[in-house]
Amino acid sequence: MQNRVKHWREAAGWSQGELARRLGVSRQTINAVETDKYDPSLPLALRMARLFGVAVPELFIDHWEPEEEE
Amino acid sequence: MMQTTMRDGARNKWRKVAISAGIGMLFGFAGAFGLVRLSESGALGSLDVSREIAALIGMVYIFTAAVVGAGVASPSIGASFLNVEDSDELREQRRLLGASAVSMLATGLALVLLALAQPVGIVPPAAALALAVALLAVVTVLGITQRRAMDELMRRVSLEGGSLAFYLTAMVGGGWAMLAHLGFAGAPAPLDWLTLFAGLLLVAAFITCAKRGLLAPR
Repeated sequence: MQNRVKHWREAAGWSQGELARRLGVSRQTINAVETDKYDPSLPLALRMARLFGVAVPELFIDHWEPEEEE
Repeated sequence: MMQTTMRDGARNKWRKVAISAGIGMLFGFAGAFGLVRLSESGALGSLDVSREIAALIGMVYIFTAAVVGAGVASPSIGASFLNVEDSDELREQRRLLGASAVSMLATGLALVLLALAQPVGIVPPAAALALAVALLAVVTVLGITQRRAMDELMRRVSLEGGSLAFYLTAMVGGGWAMLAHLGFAGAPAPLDWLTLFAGLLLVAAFITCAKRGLLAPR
Protein backbone atom coordinates (compact mmCIF):
# COMPACT_ATOMS: atom_id res chain seq x y z
CA MET A 1 0.00 0.00 0.00
CA GLN A 2 1.34 3.43 -0.94
CA ASN A 3 1.86 5.86 1.88
CA ARG A 4 2.99 9.42 2.56
CA VAL A 5 4.67 8.77 5.90
CA LYS A 6 8.04 10.03 4.67
CA HIS A 7 6.43 13.22 3.36
CA TRP A 8 4.73 13.98 6.68
CA ARG A 9 7.76 12.94 8.72
CA GLU A 10 10.03 15.27 6.75
CA ALA A 11 7.44 18.04 6.97
CA ALA A 12 7.57 17.66 10.75
CA GLY A 13 11.37 17.83 10.60
CA TRP A 14 11.86 14.43 12.22
CA SER A 15 14.37 11.74 11.42
CA GLN A 16 13.25 8.10 11.16
CA GLY A 17 14.79 7.57 14.59
CA GLU A 18 12.82 10.45 16.09
CA LEU A 19 9.53 9.21 14.64
CA ALA A 20 10.32 5.66 15.80
CA ARG A 21 11.02 6.93 19.32
CA ARG A 22 7.74 8.90 19.43
CA LEU A 23 5.77 5.85 18.25
CA GLY A 24 7.62 3.32 20.39
CA VAL A 25 8.78 1.18 17.46
CA SER A 26 12.15 0.48 15.85
CA ARG A 27 13.70 2.58 13.08
CA GLN A 28 13.53 -0.52 10.89
CA THR A 29 9.75 -0.44 11.18
CA ILE A 30 9.58 3.19 10.04
CA ASN A 31 12.00 2.43 7.21
CA ALA A 32 9.99 -0.63 6.13
CA VAL A 33 6.74 1.37 6.16
CA GLU A 34 8.23 4.25 4.19
CA THR A 35 9.65 1.92 1.55
CA ASP A 36 6.31 0.09 1.18
CA LYS A 37 7.75 -3.16 2.53
CA TYR A 38 5.41 -3.30 5.47
CA ASP A 39 1.86 -2.10 6.12
CA PRO A 40 1.56 -1.11 9.77
CA SER A 41 -1.14 -2.43 12.06
CA LEU A 42 -4.29 -0.34 12.46
CA PRO A 43 -3.27 0.93 15.94
CA LEU A 44 0.13 2.07 14.62
CA ALA A 45 -1.47 3.72 11.56
CA LEU A 46 -3.90 5.57 13.85
CA ARG A 47 -1.02 6.71 16.09
CA MET A 48 0.94 7.94 13.09
CA ALA A 49 -2.05 9.91 11.81
CA ARG A 50 -2.62 11.40 15.25
CA LEU A 51 1.03 12.36 15.57
CA PHE A 52 1.04 14.15 12.21
CA GLY A 53 -2.40 15.65 12.79
CA VAL A 54 -3.89 14.15 9.62
CA ALA A 55 -6.50 11.52 8.77
CA VAL A 56 -5.37 7.96 8.05
CA PRO A 57 -6.39 8.16 4.34
CA GLU A 58 -4.01 11.12 3.98
CA LEU A 59 -1.18 8.90 5.17
CA PHE A 60 -2.06 5.58 3.53
CA ILE A 61 -3.43 5.52 0.01
CA ASP A 62 -5.63 2.64 -1.05
CA HIS A 63 -6.85 2.70 -4.67
CA TRP A 64 -9.59 0.18 -4.06
CA GLU A 65 -13.06 1.22 -5.18
CA PRO A 66 -16.28 -0.58 -4.24
CA GLU A 67 -18.06 -2.29 -7.07
CA GLU A 68 -21.02 -0.30 -8.29
CA GLU A 69 -24.34 -2.02 -7.70
CA GLU A 70 -26.53 -2.40 -10.75
CA MET B 1 26.53 19.73 -2.52
CA MET B 2 23.40 17.64 -1.88
CA GLN B 3 24.33 15.29 -4.75
CA THR B 4 27.80 14.83 -3.26
CA THR B 5 26.30 13.94 0.14
CA MET B 6 23.94 11.43 -1.50
CA ARG B 7 26.83 9.91 -3.47
CA ASP B 8 28.90 9.64 -0.26
CA GLY B 9 25.94 8.02 1.50
CA ALA B 10 25.50 5.47 -1.29
CA ARG B 11 29.25 4.80 -1.32
CA ASN B 12 29.24 4.22 2.46
CA LYS B 13 26.30 1.82 2.15
CA TRP B 14 28.05 -0.29 -0.47
CA ARG B 15 31.36 -0.14 1.41
CA LYS B 16 29.54 -1.60 4.41
CA VAL B 17 28.05 -4.35 2.21
CA ALA B 18 31.53 -5.11 0.83
CA ILE B 19 33.05 -5.26 4.34
CA SER B 20 30.27 -7.57 5.58
CA ALA B 21 30.56 -9.82 2.51
CA GLY B 22 34.35 -9.87 2.85
CA ILE B 23 34.22 -10.82 6.55
CA GLY B 24 31.58 -13.46 5.81
CA MET B 25 33.53 -15.01 2.94
CA LEU B 26 36.84 -14.95 4.82
CA PHE B 27 35.52 -16.52 8.03
CA GLY B 28 33.17 -18.85 6.12
CA PHE B 29 36.03 -20.18 4.03
CA ALA B 30 38.40 -20.39 7.01
CA GLY B 31 35.75 -22.15 9.12
CA ALA B 32 34.79 -24.67 6.46
CA PHE B 33 38.44 -25.32 5.53
CA GLY B 34 39.42 -25.73 9.20
CA LEU B 35 36.55 -28.11 9.90
CA VAL B 36 37.29 -30.30 6.87
CA ARG B 37 41.02 -30.41 7.77
CA LEU B 38 40.24 -31.29 11.39
CA SER B 39 37.78 -33.93 10.28
CA GLU B 40 40.31 -35.45 7.85
CA SER B 41 43.00 -35.47 10.55
CA GLY B 42 40.79 -37.66 12.73
CA ALA B 43 40.98 -35.19 15.66
CA LEU B 44 37.15 -35.01 15.72
CA GLY B 45 36.65 -38.74 15.22
CA SER B 46 35.60 -40.09 11.84
CA LEU B 47 32.75 -37.77 10.90
CA ASP B 48 30.51 -38.72 8.00
CA VAL B 49 28.99 -36.19 5.55
CA SER B 50 25.84 -35.85 7.65
CA ARG B 51 27.85 -34.82 10.73
CA GLU B 52 30.13 -32.52 8.73
CA ILE B 53 27.15 -30.63 7.29
CA ALA B 54 25.55 -30.37 10.75
CA ALA B 55 28.80 -28.98 12.17
CA LEU B 56 29.10 -26.52 9.28
CA ILE B 57 25.55 -25.21 9.79
CA GLY B 58 26.32 -24.97 13.51
CA MET B 59 29.41 -22.93 12.70
CA VAL B 60 27.38 -20.58 10.47
CA TYR B 61 25.16 -19.93 13.50
CA ILE B 62 28.18 -19.43 15.78
CA PHE B 63 29.85 -17.08 13.30
CA THR B 64 26.67 -15.02 12.81
CA ALA B 65 26.25 -14.84 16.59
CA ALA B 66 29.85 -13.65 16.96
CA VAL B 67 29.38 -10.90 14.35
CA VAL B 68 26.11 -9.65 15.88
CA GLY B 69 27.52 -10.01 19.42
CA ALA B 70 30.61 -7.99 18.50
CA GLY B 71 28.39 -5.28 17.01
CA VAL B 72 26.23 -5.12 20.13
CA ALA B 73 29.29 -5.09 22.42
CA SER B 74 30.85 -2.25 20.47
CA PRO B 75 28.14 -0.33 18.58
CA SER B 76 30.54 2.23 17.09
CA ILE B 77 32.53 -0.55 15.38
CA GLY B 78 29.43 -2.69 14.76
CA ALA B 79 27.82 0.12 12.76
CA SER B 80 30.61 -0.23 10.19
CA PHE B 81 29.70 -3.81 9.27
CA LEU B 82 26.13 -4.43 10.47
CA ASN B 83 23.16 -3.24 8.40
CA VAL B 84 22.11 -0.33 10.61
CA GLU B 85 21.86 3.41 10.06
CA ASP B 86 24.28 4.31 12.85
CA SER B 87 25.67 3.13 16.18
CA ASP B 88 22.67 4.55 18.07
CA GLU B 89 20.40 2.12 16.26
CA LEU B 90 22.52 -0.72 17.63
CA ARG B 91 22.23 0.76 21.13
CA GLU B 92 18.43 1.02 20.73
CA GLN B 93 18.27 -2.62 19.62
CA ARG B 94 20.83 -3.89 22.14
CA ARG B 95 18.42 -6.06 24.15
CA LEU B 96 16.88 -7.75 21.12
CA LEU B 97 20.14 -8.22 19.21
CA GLY B 98 22.02 -9.37 22.33
CA ALA B 99 19.40 -12.04 23.03
CA SER B 100 19.42 -13.01 19.37
CA ALA B 101 23.23 -13.39 19.35
CA VAL B 102 23.23 -15.60 22.46
CA SER B 103 20.34 -17.62 21.08
CA MET B 104 22.15 -18.23 17.78
CA LEU B 105 25.34 -19.12 19.63
CA ALA B 106 23.48 -21.68 21.74
CA THR B 107 21.78 -23.18 18.64
CA GLY B 108 25.10 -23.42 16.81
CA LEU B 109 26.90 -24.98 19.78
CA ALA B 110 24.11 -27.53 20.24
CA LEU B 111 24.34 -28.57 16.59
CA VAL B 112 28.14 -28.83 16.69
CA LEU B 113 28.00 -30.86 19.93
CA LEU B 114 25.48 -33.28 18.43
CA ALA B 115 27.58 -33.58 15.28
CA LEU B 116 30.63 -34.44 17.36
CA ALA B 117 28.88 -37.01 19.56
CA GLN B 118 30.09 -40.59 19.82
CA PRO B 119 30.15 -43.32 18.54
CA VAL B 120 31.99 -41.79 15.57
CA GLY B 121 32.64 -38.39 17.20
CA ILE B 122 34.52 -37.45 20.36
CA VAL B 123 31.79 -36.22 22.75
CA PRO B 124 30.13 -38.86 25.01
CA PRO B 125 26.41 -39.12 24.05
CA ALA B 126 25.14 -38.41 27.59
CA ALA B 127 27.24 -35.23 27.81
CA ALA B 128 26.15 -34.17 24.31
CA LEU B 129 22.50 -34.72 25.23
CA ALA B 130 22.71 -32.87 28.55
CA LEU B 131 24.52 -29.91 27.00
CA ALA B 132 22.29 -29.77 23.92
CA VAL B 133 19.13 -29.83 26.08
CA ALA B 134 20.56 -27.07 28.32
CA LEU B 135 21.48 -24.97 25.27
CA LEU B 136 18.05 -25.44 23.68
CA ALA B 137 16.44 -24.45 27.00
CA VAL B 138 18.48 -21.23 26.81
CA VAL B 139 17.19 -20.71 23.24
CA THR B 140 13.60 -21.19 24.44
CA VAL B 141 13.92 -18.74 27.35
CA LEU B 142 15.65 -16.18 25.14
CA GLY B 143 12.95 -16.64 22.50
CA ILE B 144 10.34 -15.54 25.06
CA THR B 145 12.55 -12.61 26.15
CA GLN B 146 13.07 -11.58 22.52
CA ARG B 147 9.36 -11.67 21.79
CA ARG B 148 8.75 -9.16 24.59
CA ALA B 149 11.41 -6.82 23.14
CA MET B 150 10.05 -7.03 19.58
CA ASP B 151 7.97 -4.35 17.95
CA GLU B 152 5.22 -5.24 15.47
CA LEU B 153 7.49 -5.49 12.41
CA MET B 154 9.86 -7.91 14.13
CA ARG B 155 6.93 -9.97 15.40
CA ARG B 156 5.63 -10.17 11.84
CA VAL B 157 9.06 -11.15 10.50
CA SER B 158 9.36 -13.78 13.21
CA LEU B 159 5.93 -15.25 12.38
CA GLU B 160 6.51 -15.21 8.62
CA GLY B 161 10.00 -16.68 9.04
CA GLY B 162 8.69 -19.48 11.24
CA SER B 163 5.88 -20.23 8.80
CA LEU B 164 8.20 -20.25 5.78
CA ALA B 165 10.70 -22.45 7.67
CA PHE B 166 7.92 -24.97 8.28
CA TYR B 167 6.97 -25.12 4.60
CA LEU B 168 10.62 -25.35 3.48
CA THR B 169 11.26 -28.17 5.96
CA ALA B 170 8.09 -29.95 4.86
CA MET B 171 9.14 -29.59 1.22
CA VAL B 172 12.83 -30.54 1.55
CA GLY B 173 12.55 -33.01 4.46
CA GLY B 174 9.23 -34.37 3.26
CA GLY B 175 10.54 -34.76 -0.29
CA TRP B 176 13.63 -36.54 0.98
CA ALA B 177 11.55 -38.83 3.22
CA MET B 178 9.26 -39.61 0.28
CA LEU B 179 12.21 -40.51 -1.97
CA ALA B 180 13.70 -42.64 0.83
CA HIS B 181 10.37 -44.38 1.44
CA LEU B 182 10.16 -45.33 -2.24
CA GLY B 183 13.76 -46.51 -2.34
CA PHE B 184 15.13 -43.72 -4.54
CA ALA B 185 17.43 -42.31 -1.83
CA GLY B 186 18.91 -43.16 1.55
CA ALA B 187 16.74 -42.18 4.52
CA PRO B 188 17.63 -38.94 6.32
CA ALA B 189 19.49 -39.60 9.57
CA PRO B 190 18.04 -38.12 12.80
CA LEU B 191 20.86 -35.54 12.76
CA ASP B 192 19.89 -34.58 9.18
CA TRP B 193 16.47 -33.55 10.49
CA LEU B 194 18.06 -31.31 13.13
CA THR B 195 20.33 -29.82 10.46
CA LEU B 196 17.32 -29.25 8.20
CA PHE B 197 15.41 -27.48 10.99
CA ALA B 198 18.32 -25.18 11.81
CA GLY B 199 19.51 -24.61 8.24
CA LEU B 200 16.12 -23.96 6.70
CA LEU B 201 15.15 -21.67 9.58
CA LEU B 202 18.18 -19.57 8.68
CA VAL B 203 17.23 -19.59 4.98
CA ALA B 204 13.64 -18.64 5.85
CA ALA B 205 14.85 -15.81 8.10
CA PHE B 206 16.98 -14.38 5.28
CA ILE B 207 14.14 -14.61 2.75
CA THR B 208 11.66 -12.97 5.14
CA CYS B 209 14.09 -10.21 6.11
CA ALA B 210 14.81 -9.53 2.42
CA LYS B 211 11.08 -9.39 1.63
CA ARG B 212 10.53 -6.82 4.38
CA GLY B 213 13.47 -4.69 3.19
CA LEU B 214 15.66 -5.43 6.22
CA LEU B 215 18.60 -6.52 4.06
CA ALA B 216 18.58 -3.40 1.87
CA PRO B 217 21.86 -1.54 2.48
CA ARG B 218 21.39 1.31 4.97
